[in-house]
Parts: sequence; C-alpha cells; structure tokens
Amino acid sequence: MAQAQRWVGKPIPRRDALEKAIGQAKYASDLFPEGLLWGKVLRSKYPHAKIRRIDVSSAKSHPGVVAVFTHEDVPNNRYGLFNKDRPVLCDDKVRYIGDPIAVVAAETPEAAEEALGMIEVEYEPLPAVLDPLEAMKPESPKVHERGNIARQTRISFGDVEQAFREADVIVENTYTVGTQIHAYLETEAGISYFDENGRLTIVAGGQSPYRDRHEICSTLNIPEDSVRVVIPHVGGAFGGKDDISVQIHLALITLKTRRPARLVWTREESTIAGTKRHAGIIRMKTAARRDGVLLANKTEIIYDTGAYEGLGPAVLDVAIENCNGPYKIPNIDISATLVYTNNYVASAFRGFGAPQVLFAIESQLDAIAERLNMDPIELRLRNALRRGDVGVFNNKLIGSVGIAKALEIAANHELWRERGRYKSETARPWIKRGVGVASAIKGYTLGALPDKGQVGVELTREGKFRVRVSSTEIGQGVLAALAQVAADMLRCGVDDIQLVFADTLETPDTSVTSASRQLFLAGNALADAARKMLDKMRHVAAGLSGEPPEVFDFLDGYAISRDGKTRISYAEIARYMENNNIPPHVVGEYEVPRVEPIPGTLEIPHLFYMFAAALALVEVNTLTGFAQVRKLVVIPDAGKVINPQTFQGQIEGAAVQGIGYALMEEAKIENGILKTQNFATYLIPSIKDAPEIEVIPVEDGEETGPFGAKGIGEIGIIPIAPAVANAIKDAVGVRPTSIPITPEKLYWLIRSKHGEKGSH
Amino acid sequence: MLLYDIDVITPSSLDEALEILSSRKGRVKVVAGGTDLIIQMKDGIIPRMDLLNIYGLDELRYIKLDDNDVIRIGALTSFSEIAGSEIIRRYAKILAEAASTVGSIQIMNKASIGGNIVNASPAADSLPPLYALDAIVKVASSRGFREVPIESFYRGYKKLDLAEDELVCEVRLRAMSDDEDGVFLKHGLRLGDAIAVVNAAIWVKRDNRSGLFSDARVALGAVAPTVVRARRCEQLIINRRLDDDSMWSAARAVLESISPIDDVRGSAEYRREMSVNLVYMGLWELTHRSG
Ligand SMILES: Cc1cc2nc3c(=O)[nH]c(=O)nc-3n(C[C@H](O)[C@H](O)[C@H](O)COP(=O)(O)OP(=O)(O)OC[C@H]3O[C@@H](n4cnc5c(N)ncnc54)[C@H](O)[C@@H]3O)c2cc1C
Repeated sequence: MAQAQRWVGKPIPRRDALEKAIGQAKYASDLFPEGLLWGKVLRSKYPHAKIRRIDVSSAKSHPGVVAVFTHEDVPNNRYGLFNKDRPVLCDDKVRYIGDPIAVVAAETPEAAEEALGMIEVEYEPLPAVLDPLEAMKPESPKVHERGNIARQTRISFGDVEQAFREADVIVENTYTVGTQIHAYLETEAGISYFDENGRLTIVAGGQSPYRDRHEICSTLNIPEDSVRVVIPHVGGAFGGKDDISVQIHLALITLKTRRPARLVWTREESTIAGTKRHAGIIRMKTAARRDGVLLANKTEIIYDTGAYEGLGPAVLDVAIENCNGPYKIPNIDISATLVYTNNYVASAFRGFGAPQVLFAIESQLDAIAERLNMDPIELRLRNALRRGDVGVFNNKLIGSVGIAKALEIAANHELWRERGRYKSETARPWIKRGVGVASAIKGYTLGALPDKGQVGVELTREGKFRVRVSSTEIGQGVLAALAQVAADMLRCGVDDIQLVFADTLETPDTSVTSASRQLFLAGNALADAARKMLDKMRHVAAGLSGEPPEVFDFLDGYAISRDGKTRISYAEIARYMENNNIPPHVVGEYEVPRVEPIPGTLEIPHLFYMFAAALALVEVNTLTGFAQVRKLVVIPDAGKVINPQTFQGQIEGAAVQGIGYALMEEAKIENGILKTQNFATYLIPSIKDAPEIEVIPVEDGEETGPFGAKGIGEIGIIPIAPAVANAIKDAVGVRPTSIPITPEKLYWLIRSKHGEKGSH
Repeated sequence: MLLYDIDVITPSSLDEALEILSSRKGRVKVVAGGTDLIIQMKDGIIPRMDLLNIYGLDELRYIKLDDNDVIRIGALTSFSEIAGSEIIRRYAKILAEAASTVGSIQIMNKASIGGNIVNASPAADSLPPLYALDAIVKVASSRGFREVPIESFYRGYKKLDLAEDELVCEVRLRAMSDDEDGVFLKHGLRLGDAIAVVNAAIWVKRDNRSGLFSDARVALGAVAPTVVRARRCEQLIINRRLDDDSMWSAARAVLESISPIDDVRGSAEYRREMSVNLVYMGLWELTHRSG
C-alpha cells in the first residue's frame, strides 16, 4: 500500500505509557471483583510419584473454605497445544514438583492457604528422571506411558561426511545451555465471574484469548460461546503466557461455585509452575574450506521439555531451522530430540528454541575464524545468506534478508574497527577486555503452519475509527504500533484510532500474539480492512456529493475529490451511514503465506526471517570470573521501524534479557527441586548490569509487511549470548561452551587454562 | 506464608520502645527498615509475632563526628545516608563504599545499619568495614546502656551478645586519619542488588617514613558463620615490604581464618579462592595508591 506516512516511523509516545507510569493501567492482578473467592493451588511435593489417594474432606470443612476441586471435577482432564499430555489437576501421577493436584476456593486468602495444608495426598514416590541423556535410555523410568522421547527427527541435505573429508578445518564442540525463567514483573494472574448475560468470563494474563478459551472449553466440556476470555494489559509474557496457567482453574471455580474468583500466582509459584526456556545439549561439527567457505554442519540437539510438551515440538523445529545460522551451508545433518524428564515444564520463551542453537553455531563460526586466522565478520559475510539465495533446506529466500548489511554495519562500527584500543583501556592487570560479534536468524510467522488473522474496523458516529484486534498488549507496544499503522491506512489522526483488544466477545480472532509477527499479521489484516472501509466510505461520499466514487481520495479525516472542490468529513460520512442503515464496520483478513513443511518437521521452513548482528564489549575480572558487558551494539534487520521508541525499547529489553541468559540467569534444579525460586537467588540483570546499548536498524523494507515492517520481538535476544561468549574468548583466551557463563564457571575455566593467579 | 493477625506497636520515643521491649520480652520483634525481617517472617524463617516498629524513632538517626575524633552513627541511619555522608566518606570511607553496595537505591533508602548489624548475616556488607575499623556497638535497655566491641558482639552464626529486652542504638568508630587507608571489596554475582559471595575490608596505617604498613586489619564476610578477622594475613603485611609475591602469600594466609560452605551462590572451594583473590586485589590497590 503505497501512500504517504504521517504516523508510521514517528516516535509517538505510547498511549499506555503514562497510565502505566502512574499506576493507573489495570492488569489482571489489579482486579478484585466483588464477592470474590480466593483461589489457591496445591502442588506436588515430589518430582515423580503415583497418587494413591487424595482426601479433601477436612480442607472442605475448614472455616471459610467454599470448595475444593480435584481431577474428578474436570471432565476432560488433559490439554496441550500439540499433544494433550497435561492434566488440569493431576490424577494418576505427578510428574514434577509443582504439578497441580487440587484447587481451593475460600472467602479469604488465609483460609485458602490454610486449607492447602489440610488436603491429604498419599503418594507413592517413583524414581525420577532428571537428566535428559539418562531419560533417553530405554531402561529409564517413564515420565509418560509413551516413553521419554517426546519427539525425534533427523533432517539432512547433502553429504556431511564427504564434506568433512574435503574440509581444511573442522571444529567440533559440545554446548550446554541452561534453563531460563521468564521472570516477568507480573506473575500469572486472573479473575473470573459470570457477566450480566450469564457468560463465564475469564480476565487473565495471556497471549491469545481465543486459544485460552479453547483450552478452557475443551477441558471443562462447555460450549465456546458460553465463555468470554479477556486479556487486559499484561505485565510481561515473553512466551511464558503462551500456555495455560490460571485460566482453567479459575473457570472451574466460578463454573462450580457460581461466584467470582481471583487466582494470582506467587513469585515462587510462577518460577516453579510457569513454563521455561528449554535447557539443552547441542553437539556441533562444522567444516570450512581454507578461504572461509562453510562446507558442512552436523548438529545434534537435545532439548529437555520437562514433564510436559507445551510448545516443545515447535520449539524443536525452530532449533532445527536455525542451527545453521544465517549462512549458506551445502551439507547439513541435524538430529533433534525433545525429551521428557521430571524437570520443570519448558515451552515458549522469546527466541523459541533459537537462542540455544545460535549460541552454538556462532561460537563455532568464531572458532573457525580463529583457526583460519580470519576476521570473524569477514568469515560471516563470506557465508551470509542474501535475498534470493537458496537456504539450507533448499528453500528459496523470497523475503528481505538483511544480515549481510547488518554485518557490514558491524564491521564498520567504531567498536569493531578500534577494538584494539578498547581492549587496551583497562586499569588493573587482572581485568581483561574483549570484543565479540555474533549473527542471528529466526523465522517470524508460524512458518508452515496455517496462520490467519482478522481485524475489525468500525467508523464511529464522530468520524473516528474503532479497531478491533485480539492481539494482546504484553508490554511490547503492539497497540501503539497498530494505531500508527491504522492512522496512516485510514488517513486520519492517530488519536482518532481507538483500539479494542484481546476480548473474545469484542474482537475477532487475530490469532496468537507470538512468533514476532503480531504487527505483521494484524497490520496486513488491517490493510485489508482499511481498503474495505475506505471503499465503503468512497461510495458514501459519492452518494452525498453526486460525484463518481473514483474521484475521492482520503486525507486527514476528509474524503476529498480529485479537483479539491468537494470535502466531506468522516463524521458526515458516518452520519450518512447511520441514517441510511449502512453498517459502519468491516472485517479484514490476512492469511500468512507459507510453504509445505519439509518431511520430518512440523512447521519449517518459514518464508519470512528476521536477522540481526551484535557486537559486545566485555570486561572479565580474571581473579573472580565476573564478566561485565560494557557496551552492546545491536543491529536488527527491521524491515521498517514503525515506532522508533517502541523499537528501541524492544531491542534494548531483549538485549538485557540476553545478558541475563548469557551470564547469570540459572534455574538451579537439584533432584527435581528448583533452588532458585525467587529473585534473591534467580538473578536477572539489575539496571547496573545493563550497559550502554546502541541500536542501529537496517531498514530495507519487506514488501509483504505493513509499510515494509517485519518482526522484531525476538531477534534482539538471539545474538547476545554468542556475542558475549565470543568477547569473553577474545578477552581471556578460553571459549565458554556452557551458558550461563556465571562467575564461578568462568573462573574455573580460566584457572584450568592459565593456572593460579588468573591469567596475568 | 501470608502475614496477618499481627499487631504493630509504634513507640514514640526510645524510652517507650525500651519499656515495651522489657514488658513484652520475647513476644515482640523489633522492626526497623523491615528489609530483612518482613521477608524472613513471611518465609517462616523466624516465628510470626507482633512487631515493635522503631522506624519512626528519629533520635536514632544521625551521623556525628565529635571532638575526640569519634564517629557516632545512630542505629536507624540508612545506608543511603551513610553512603552520602561527608563525615563517613572522609573519615570512614570503607564504610561509605560498603554502604553504597547494599542492594539497590530502594534498599539503601530503607535499610538501617542497626538492622544490618542485628540481622547478623555473615554476608552483611557493613560488617567487614566495622570489623576493620574496630567499631563499638552501643546497646540500650530499660536497665541502661552497654558497649560491646564489634568482634565480641558476635558469638556464632546469628548468635549475638544482645538480650531480648535490648536494642542496638548506636555504632561508634574512630575517624581515620591521613596516614590511614583502606579498601572495601565485594564480589557478587551481578552489579546491582547482589548479596556478596565474599566481601572484605582492609584497613592499614602507613608509616610515612618507611612507606610500610605499621598496622593493619583484614576482615572477610560470607566465608564463616560470622565475619572473621584474618590475623595471619595481617601479620604478613605489617612492617613488610610488599611485592607481588609477598602480597599473594599474605592473601593466601586468609585461608587459615575462614571456613566457607557451599550454597546457591557459590561452592566452598570457589569462596576460598575468592577470599584470597579479593584480599590480593585489595592489597594491590593499597600498595599502588601512595606507598
Ligand atoms: C533486595 C534486597 C537486597 C539486599 N541487599 C543487601 C546487600 O547487598 N548487603 C547487605 O548487607 N544486606 C542486604 N540486604 C539485607 C538488608 O537490607 C540489610 O541487612 C539491612 O541493613 C537490614 O536493615 P533493616 O533496617 O531493614 O532491618 P529489619 O529488617 O527491620 O531488621 C533486621 C533484624 O534486625 C533487628 N533489628 C533491627 N534494628 C534493630 C535495632 N536497632 N536493635 C535491635 N534489633 C534490631 C530486627 O528485629 C531483625 O531481626 C538486602 C535485602 C533485600 C531485601
């Protein structure tokens, strides 16, 4: 849609910014419906056990307790997005510490909590399987009847073994990546009630009201039109609210007691029962020719999905798709396994399986550059994908491919050109500095899975527009960006756009808010809706003026005839429509283009990819192992930046989350027990750990995106861990192959290489 | 655990507070900034009981330097106040440095030095400087006042020389003179809001003619049930010419004074190495300043 952009590309303050800053925005956890019952969940104490007996009788008779529910109250007690393997409330077994067993509803939070202690559960502890490699052995205890291999596949193109024989350099390493917790400010939270029309209503943090409704209705066996799901402002999601958390339990309480309810997870519940990023083991063998051309990459991926699959099968696909980086490699061989264990449930987390494998391949590239004595950026550029290339899966890259440009910007950046000077600027003999680079790639959209979304647009009596999307505002700023896109498409002021969002009663299904593609999807559906709306309005303008519809164009809230003589305001058009019973609303739709999945996969390849390059300046204290990121330069391939402020915020936030992933975020699990249950021990970066971050977008435009935009939500985290690891290697001469690179790990690594007294 | 059904008693003077403490001995818990206490009570680490809220007692909030070069810090003084105090920055700078690393700005605004002392975490950041500066803790009760040297105030892990009816009201230090110097070192797992894996404070007195340290105190935290003085290390730096090798030998001598454990923040072995390395870094700083 080629037209002037008045709002797109401008740093317009987000409409939710002020109300959030002054505490007026309402999140689900701020809501206290009148007469509510307090919900609390009893969770498993064992990582793996049979449930022999559950006795809720004394809890039920505890003063203040209104009801206690168990699996017997759930008609279809299994749910899951790919595989219905997860109980709403455990029946036969518990499979991790934190698995829900019973839900209490009481008049006060105190009574609810006391009642939890009165529920008797008789367990028969079973041997737990906590190591994914152990779990893969056939003789291991089975987490599920079907065995511990949740998914296994092998994809190969070309002949890696032949390529290894011909290669000049081969680098082989095993990488391990830890479990990352989303650690959002707002924990999983919601309320439930019957609305005035008797509709069961759930207001809860989430990423897709329609999908949450489906999970509620299929487990509780109630018709979908009897349930309304609303997702208000969400205090962070990062993929962690893609899966069900409080929704079904809330629905159960209100459905059975006919009373409103509130269920808000404590921080500890959130870290225990919330989903996580997959921990994993990645073995990689990569070959190159003397001139730096990559010849082959052989990868083995093992991801620990914990007790249930969640979105694990798709996460594994994304790992498979991106484990070769943004490079042309003629011979690849990938074996990938998703393993059940009695650990915590892993599912979606910003990057969705890509950060793990990019840490591996980008470390490999660095090691190859070192062996070939070649500049690491030059090596990457020599192999970088370009538009029109055929990717590793024989897939033609028809979308925009900005990685080469991003790498060129990195190569010309002062931090890279003058890295020698940056590295020499240290004041203590035990402080060493290094500069590292990494690239990133990830598909946006749901790849080869069908993906369609709708957007509603309505002309109000005042001549403004109400835009209806089920997109969720999880802090990423999609509403502000959509308002800007809508204002430009509907040729009006951005303040004339009112957004109604994430409500199964009020908004059409704009599909899930995930995979970095809500702006892309909703923006395209909005373009369709805008076209339809303006067409309608053009005919009304014609009717009002007697001139033919084709002469009208739209600008600043007016339909204007080509000669400029006739100007009809949107408000006039709206009034005319009302008086003549012309429905003032339209629905736009967009179906994301896709290709057939390659055999052995579910949803890859994508047609559309995001890219980024990053530079990191890291300072290592060799006497403590503490690594501090001093500066980051992140260069995302953005297509077109819709709102520079929001864009910067997304990339900076992702970068800091990436620093956490690289250096400190470590869910410590011992014997199935999470040792890091709150922020005293699960360390995420503090503001003092956030370095100077420079964000430089590549804006080459993606024709299929709204105004040329592509996804940016996830790409910012992906290059950070490898760039930091490569900088650490540059600083101290040892390559970290395990993240997070905590001070203690790095200290021993440095010691093992340099002996006592650090490296000086 | 939720905290409910708790009475909070807010006295309007120190005397009234001491009165209540003695009459409800053992049945009331003092709360100052609450940054330790509330969390511990919620987590069930300490028993739930009524609270004596002394946070409003401004008479315990001061930093004074008297004519005898003695610095007096009221127990309720916050770490923000301590970190920003001209007196502390000039005459007890290692305490100012430590204060500025306590948690975050929010914690520094709320957390009191008295709370830090009485909470008695082996990792408490104010304690190594207080040990290195030979501080005196002043204790009050309705029976009167007592003064206890900091080292004998601690008798074991969270065991204090403090009766149930007593409050800590002040901590007292001797102001550092121009020939004295010191460093505070903290190794945490991130830069902000980090509890020390190991922390340390070194105080030295320089002999102006020889340039050697004529006296020294080295204290380490998070490596034993209480903060410890590393006396063997001190001996190895007093009146000795310090080159790189002798600094390493002195630093390694701290191992004789510590008994670290494994926990979620680090292994005992790592803590041993960090103790040595931190002290080495501190000695390096002191010998490279002006000596
Ligand atoms: C996020 C966070 C980060 C933190 N970071 C650090 C850190 O980096 N370094 C560090 O050392 N600490 C840290 N702490 C711990 C805490 O902030 C300090 O120990 C603080 O000094 C405690 O002071 P308070 O006034 O809050 O004490 P409170 O919590 O009110 O009391 C602590 C204990 O002392 C008792 N008490 C308090 N005042 C007196 C008194 N005058 N007389 C007798 N008994 C008294 C109370 O009964 C209680 O047992 C952190 C805490 C949090 C929550």
